[in-house]
Amino acid sequence: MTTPTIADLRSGVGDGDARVAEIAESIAGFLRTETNLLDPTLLNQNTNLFQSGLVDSLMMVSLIGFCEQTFECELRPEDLVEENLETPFALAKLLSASRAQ
Amino acid sequence: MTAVPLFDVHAHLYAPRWYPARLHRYLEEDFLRRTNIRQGSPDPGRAGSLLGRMLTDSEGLRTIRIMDRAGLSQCIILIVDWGLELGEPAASIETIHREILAVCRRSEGRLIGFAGLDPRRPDAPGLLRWASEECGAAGLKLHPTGSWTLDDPVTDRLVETAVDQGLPVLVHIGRTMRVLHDQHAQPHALVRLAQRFPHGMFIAGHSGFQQYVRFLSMDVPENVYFDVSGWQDWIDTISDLQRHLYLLLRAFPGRVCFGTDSPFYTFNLDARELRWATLVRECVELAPDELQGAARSILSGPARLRAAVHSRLISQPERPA
Repeated sequence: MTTPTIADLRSGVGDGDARVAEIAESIAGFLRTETNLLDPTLLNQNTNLFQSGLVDSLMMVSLIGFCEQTFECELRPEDLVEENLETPFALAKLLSASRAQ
Repeated sequence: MTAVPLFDVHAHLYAPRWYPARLHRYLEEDFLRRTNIRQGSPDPGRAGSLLGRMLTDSEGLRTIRIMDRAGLSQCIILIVDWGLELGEPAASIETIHREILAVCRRSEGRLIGFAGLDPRRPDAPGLLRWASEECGAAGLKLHPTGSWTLDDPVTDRLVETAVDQGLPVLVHIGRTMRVLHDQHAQPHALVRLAQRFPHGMFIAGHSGFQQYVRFLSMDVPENVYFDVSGWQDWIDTISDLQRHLYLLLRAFPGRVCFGTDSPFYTFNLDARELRWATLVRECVELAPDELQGAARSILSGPARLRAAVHSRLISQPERPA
């Protein structure tokens, strides 16, 4: 499988589940870079971002900003709750649903 | 085991119309400065929109949801009046009080509103009486971070009104945003104010952050209390919190309160509020025997403060705007 480009993700190439996984991987990649993780295996699509201590409030706002800019969407205040933000996969599902609307 | 509910004495509600545009611009700039993002950094316009959406809670619904998640029973909502210092917000000071205090009244006692007034406002004492008697304000917030001081005659007149009405006065102490300054928000100024009004009740907002140590060497009157809101910004571990909080508790047993300063440190992210509440609860649990009583009073809040604000809680039908 080839790695999807940002353009692919924006255009929604691929089926739903695969697209969510691809978005989640893009989110995890952003976080690995921004948190200077030396061991990339410490952060995967299902890592709890809050419990792991990897993401503080500022980083979470930055992550949401990155997602909105990359995937060209605007999340609603009521969507910005823990259930939707606690893992890269949860956030990817929210973004995918948001793009589908 | 069910966690003991916490009483948060220091929080805010945010909506852009309640705050000066200059403050919102500062928050954007501060966010961009503090986040050194390398990939896809949000542009200033997008960052402003995002921060606005994260912070806004004009009906208090997000705040109550977070309180439920973090185990906070009640929350004091402080109105802040920066209009004369930073430019008037879109809403007038009367409208801000009417709207925020109405949200508090609708919350069935979960949110307790404090008026917030710059003492230089024309008839600030009259505004405070109106906010208390007509809108249900249960206290007064002062933010002496501009061109007025806690020693000014206008401040005394406003505080005298608060004391006459039995309203606790919470005063911001310590560092603040770059668009303001902390020259007049110093521990000794609050102590002098409390000494002039021995029948009043005063809360040192944030306990002055790291400046709490200055209170330790002062003759602080019994009517001064302390909140630890904002400490989550400089304390991240249980050992650090134990070191600082136990010092404060030893000096002022029964006078230390829990606070969050929500949403300005956590952007309404419930997990972050939960983390701070958990850290404080753990610190209380781990307190040495001689501090257990004082530590536990942090959770429910000092009895005198609870009595003062609960006696002001009113449940009345909505008044027409």
